Amino acid sequence: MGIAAQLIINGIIAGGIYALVALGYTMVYGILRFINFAHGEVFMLGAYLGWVFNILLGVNVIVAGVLAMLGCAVAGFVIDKIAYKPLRGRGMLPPLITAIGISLFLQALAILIFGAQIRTFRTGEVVRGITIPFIDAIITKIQIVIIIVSVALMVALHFYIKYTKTGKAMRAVADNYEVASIVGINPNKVISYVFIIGSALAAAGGILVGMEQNLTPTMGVSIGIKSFTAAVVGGIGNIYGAVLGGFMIGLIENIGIWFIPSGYKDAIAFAVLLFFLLFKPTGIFGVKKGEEVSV
Amino acid sequence: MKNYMILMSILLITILVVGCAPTEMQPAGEETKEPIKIGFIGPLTGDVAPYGEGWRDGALLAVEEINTAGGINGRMLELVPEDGLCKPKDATNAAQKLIEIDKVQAIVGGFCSSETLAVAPIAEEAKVVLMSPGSTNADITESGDYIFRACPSDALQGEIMAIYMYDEGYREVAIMYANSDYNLGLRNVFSKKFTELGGEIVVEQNYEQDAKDMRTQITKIKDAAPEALYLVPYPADGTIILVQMKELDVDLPVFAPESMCVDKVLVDSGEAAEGMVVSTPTFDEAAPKTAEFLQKFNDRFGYKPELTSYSANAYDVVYLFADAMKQGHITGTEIKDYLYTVTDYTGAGGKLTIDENGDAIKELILMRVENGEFVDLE
Repeated sequence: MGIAAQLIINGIIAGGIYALVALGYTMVYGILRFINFAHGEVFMLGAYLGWVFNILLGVNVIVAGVLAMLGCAVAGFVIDKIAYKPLRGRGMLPPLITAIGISLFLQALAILIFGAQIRTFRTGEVVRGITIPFIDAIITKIQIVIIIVSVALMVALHFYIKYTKTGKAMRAVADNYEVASIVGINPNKVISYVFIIGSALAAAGGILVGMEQNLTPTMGVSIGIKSFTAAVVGGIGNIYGAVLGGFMIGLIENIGIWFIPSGYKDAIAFAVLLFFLLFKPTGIFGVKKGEEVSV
Repeated sequence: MKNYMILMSILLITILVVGCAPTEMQPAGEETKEPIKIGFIGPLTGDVAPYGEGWRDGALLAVEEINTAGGINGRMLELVPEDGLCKPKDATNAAQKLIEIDKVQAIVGGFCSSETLAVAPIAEEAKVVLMSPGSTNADITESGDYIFRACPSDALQGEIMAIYMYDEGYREVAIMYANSDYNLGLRNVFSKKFTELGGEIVVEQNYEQDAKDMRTQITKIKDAAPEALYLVPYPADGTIILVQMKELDVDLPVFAPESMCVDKVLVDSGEAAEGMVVSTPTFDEAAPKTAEFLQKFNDRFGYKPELTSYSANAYDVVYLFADAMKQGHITGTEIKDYLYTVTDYTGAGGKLTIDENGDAIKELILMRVENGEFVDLE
């Protein structure tokens, strides 16, 4: 029992982070039909901002987290305005290439400012995790925080999209860009909100991972790819799909290496991606729409 | 049409400027005083970059000193650093650039074994000397005539640890390593020796070098209940493994190679590194040339490089190249022939003798972490 439970816990922790980051990919794709490859770097930026506020400036962890989310929200807004907005309506390829450029730019910027040094939130002694009664699995305090924060943010997003005016506008624009603008919704405003919210969520993920593991300028790359996979698996464009996909990838990856050699951990996520692209390209919750088929 | 004109003008101006440049820089009648370029390949970005920077700065310090002292018979040296990212593909690109565009005859690097192994055939074919200050993979020994290193091969390091662990009474051990040539090489040497001695490898786990979440691998090790763990990581992932082992309550004696003999590992892993035993090439920081190097390094760059001995080796390698060049050995083949004659060279990295395979002969020692510090064993 202990081992199985431990693997599931490990999978859920990893999955929570994938889900948070996948939300950003899927929200942007849902509206703009392009994959924002710079999203993983926003995740990295969030981790570093949190580190700056918390470790360098000595701000309380929670306040530092909120500040980092705000900082990344601003960054997401600016990136969209500078890099993507001028390219709108020019097809899918230009913004995609630009996104890769922005991603490299942010990585280089992080190396320039923070150095290639590995940074860490850990200041004191490493404490043994807590054993969960009955199932005999070990979990650390930070990991509990990861699960709670990521689930809370996802629930908050659900209510935001479902019940607020901006949330409804987002769904409308995602459903049909032209019709939404005809009925008086300003798509540019909605897109800005999407970038702001997606980036803030990625920042939260970045800080959580940063606290648990450590910070490097390239930390966003592998999480970015896995989360993108999660978004595709869940059905890109669908936020519930992103959450489901995130947890799925986390669990499959961790349970998978119980059976096959652990060096193949990353390969498992990509095998799942391939499987879905081949047999169910629209993902679990994806709906076939004219534009999506052409992707 | 207007754009076309602008483009043409830019092109014309560029041609003019570039065309004029050499005549300005080269006073008539004098022989060329162009700097001699030396290549550098090492991880300058990515997880190993914190160490790569120290290695590059070690080489840079040597170049600057040589230039201040008058250069190579009047010609200045120039270090051309390229990022190998600790990965075969990137190191290959870097080497091709250095050899084909910069036309270097000697390269300091690579640092990670995966870099050196990937670059070795290219350097060998181009007859360019490749001398690594820190790649320890055993296969490098036989990778070519133009391939040298200033550190000993892992063949020794893995064996010493296997013998030590066996002598300490461990019979069933686990191995955990990163998927990279350095780590894989040590793992092969260690596991061969350990099984030869009569021990058993009960579980083996590996991971991608930039992985951050090793909980499941650790859980698998825990499940196999070994007596000890031979851990072969790079410093960053090694730190995470120590921390996550402690968090998951896996209390195993840990043994590791020199990649964990890093002060930052001790700082970042809190008390999780306590009791770990590491093997490392001897490096006496108090030796006169070494102390002088560390002082100069600190004066110039304002920090102390981690994996210090490799930074000192990088410094020595540049000096060895310079020594060869001062005696008129400018081409890769000439430098190669010179290097094979190096015996008992006392540099910042200690005493260095190059054997017939181009490997350095150096002693190894074991150290244990006690109260947050590395202490000599025996």
